[in-house]
Amino acid sequence: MASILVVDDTEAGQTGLIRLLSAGNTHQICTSGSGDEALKVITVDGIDLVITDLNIPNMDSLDLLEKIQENFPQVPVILRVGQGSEELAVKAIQQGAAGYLNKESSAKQLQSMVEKLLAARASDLAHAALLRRRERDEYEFKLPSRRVLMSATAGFLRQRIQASRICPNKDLLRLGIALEEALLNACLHGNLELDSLLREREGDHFDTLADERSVLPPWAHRYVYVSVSVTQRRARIVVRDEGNGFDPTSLPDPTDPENLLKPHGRGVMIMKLFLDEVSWNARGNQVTMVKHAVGAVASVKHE
Amino acid sequence: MILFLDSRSDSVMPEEKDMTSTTVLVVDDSETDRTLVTGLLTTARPEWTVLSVSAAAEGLEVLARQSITAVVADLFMPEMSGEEFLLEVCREFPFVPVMLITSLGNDEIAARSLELGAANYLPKNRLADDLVPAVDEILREIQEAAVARDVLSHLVRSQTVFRIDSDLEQIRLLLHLIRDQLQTLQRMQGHEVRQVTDAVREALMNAYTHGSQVSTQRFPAGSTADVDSALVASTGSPVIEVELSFCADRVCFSITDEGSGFDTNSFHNGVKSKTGHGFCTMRRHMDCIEFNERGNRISLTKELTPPTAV
Repeated sequence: MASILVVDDTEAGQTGLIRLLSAGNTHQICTSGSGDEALKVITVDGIDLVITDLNIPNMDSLDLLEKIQENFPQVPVILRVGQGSEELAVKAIQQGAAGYLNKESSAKQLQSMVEKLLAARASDLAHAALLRRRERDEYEFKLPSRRVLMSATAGFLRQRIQASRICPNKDLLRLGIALEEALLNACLHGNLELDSLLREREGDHFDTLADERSVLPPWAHRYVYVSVSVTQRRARIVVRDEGNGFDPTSLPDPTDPENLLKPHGRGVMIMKLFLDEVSWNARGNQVTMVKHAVGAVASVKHE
Repeated sequence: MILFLDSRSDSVMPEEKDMTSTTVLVVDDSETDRTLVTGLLTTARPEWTVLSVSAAAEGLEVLARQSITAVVADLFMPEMSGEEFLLEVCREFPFVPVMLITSLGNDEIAARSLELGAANYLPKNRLADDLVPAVDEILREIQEAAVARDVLSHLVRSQTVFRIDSDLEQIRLLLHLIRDQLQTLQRMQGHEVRQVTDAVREALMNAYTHGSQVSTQRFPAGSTADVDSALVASTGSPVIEVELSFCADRVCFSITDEGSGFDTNSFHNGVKSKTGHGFCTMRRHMDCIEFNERGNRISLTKELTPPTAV
């Protein structure tokens, strides 16, 4: 039996929907009159599916959709509208609504959509359970020094870490940014030997030089080596370049907020902020970054 | 404007083509709308090649013989509808995005189109303002996806280890995941991915069958049995350990169960038993099959052809 939350501020709307839903399978149905209340119910009661009316008090239903997406990405949301439009429907689906129904939709359409989404959710949950049985997930890359590849690799690493569920979705974005900084450092400052002080100058001198060097020897023959190992307790990422290395102590003081706004050394600060451990080898051309699973910091020390 | 297509243009490498040029295919039975869409695209983006056809079937033929970046298709067409066309493209050409357009839609049709996998949806009365930006957006997304795939061509090694319960549902889900992972590597054709997945399924089913026959036999310390007793120690129910590894020229699966093992000679001698069929499948689809001494671990290796473009 699944729990379905109906969000509608009118009693008629709530009872109508309850009647429609109970005609099919037996589900436990809860109701909320507002978006804020709905979020509380989802947090406390654990809901499998949300059906929300377009017009709800205190919060735009598309905002509610966004909040559910952010905090409970596996809970599907069906949007119901009285007077809809093609534009609204496209917007809702593109923002992540799992289904869209209008006033003319039949009871049968609603029921089949609900059952289909609940089945998909059950399969998602089983899939997530299987991913928790993954003991180890490791990848090694040898990347040419092209900036676009660095960003895409950071995206790949982020996906692997996301799949492991070691860190909440809300932290993933910043983790991705930190990894991208590490990769860009290796590519631009390490392999292509570009001084970040160039960035503080006017113009696009830095970018032009990066493009030039990425195809010229000796820079063009240097690779960025990335290895990632994800277990249930932590993700460990090692990025090595073939440049001359650098002295991490030479960077601006990362605890001084003033320095956050300066392009020089900013990447390292972001890495230190968003990862649990960041260290370099003696030469300074290899950085090792560790992100511990939430609540696993104590036990991981023994690894 | 209808361009007739030269099938010889097929010889251009798709990778090369993706980097340098954009070809948009327009599929619409209305000549007026076809002309409008083609005109809007070529006027705003003269660097694009725009092809147009009047029926879905023709559209599929074009997709089959030449590299198309994106498709703009009418939703309501005689014979094959835009929706059927969309499903067919999703199945056969999963990397080609389809944007649906219509003058006869409503909100529910719009939602349904996107749920079915359309890259976007546009009412025809919005074409003048929104078509070009919408196609731009789609191209930006596929460019990102292409770069993401490019990253994987630089993967030199990977290894993933699962420890699942000896349970049919978990085996089924794991096979899905393995198939996805093999597809992600982009080093095998679709049918090879299916064959390798089939072989792994047989090996997992063997582990499922034999792994439940827990041994009462003792093994000498220091042998591979250590690994296996560790498997038993961690949980009460039987566990199957699956290791999927990839390096430049091969993928390898190593599957270990907790059973007492079986006489591997029966495999090498060619078996007549029920399991014989499974072994035939493994032998046919994999390049190398090995067992440990105890017979509770099987390793399947598939050699890969070198990547075509890096």
